Amino acid sequence: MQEKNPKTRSVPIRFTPPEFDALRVASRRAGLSVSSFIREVSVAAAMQRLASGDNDREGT
Amino acid sequence: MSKEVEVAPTLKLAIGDDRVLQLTNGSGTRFRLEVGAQGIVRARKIRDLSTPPSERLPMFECGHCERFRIRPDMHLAIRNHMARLHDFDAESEETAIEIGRAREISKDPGWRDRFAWEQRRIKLYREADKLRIAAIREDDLAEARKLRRRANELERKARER
Repeated sequence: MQEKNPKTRSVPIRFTPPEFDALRVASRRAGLSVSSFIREVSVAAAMQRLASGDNDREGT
Repeated sequence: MSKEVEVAPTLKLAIGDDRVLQLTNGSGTRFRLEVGAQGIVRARKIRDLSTPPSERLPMFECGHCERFRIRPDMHLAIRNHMARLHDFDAESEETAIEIGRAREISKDPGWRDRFAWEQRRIKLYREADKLRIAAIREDDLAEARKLRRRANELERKARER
């Protein structure tokens, strides 16, 4: 079955070995692949920032 | 570290530092909570991604509904399911038939072998995770590399039979 909302965009991203280790362990604990984990966590964080009207650059 | 909260007598909610919300039901099945479009929260069953589908353990499936699938040695969970979802007492014939079917699946020597292999594999992944955490904390780069290499070896071992 074709996905309704296909993931057509990709982001090449580099991590240090310790960062990647942390991602690997955390994603396994969450029962997700590393890419699904990054997607889930980063999109949730982005949505939350947008919803709260957070502006990190305020005052700079 | 994640924090676990009991939200109902059989439901536990784990809030991890990684912000992934997990729900564990009475039979130990883990679900991941996802917020979809229009803010609808869905609970998705967590799949074991490290085992290919062809190698996953044969599961018990409830003969009265299509929704309940569980490891065949989890008899108490099957009894609970029969009582809560289908109103069949733990001593009823219907429940005995379902438990009997589950027993047949887990009696299969193939199932036992696969279960033992599964347990070994889980242990290897846990060991690998410990090494990775140690590597993150290690200041000496050469030592960290050694730990990481050992973790890779264990993961490779876990993937092969």
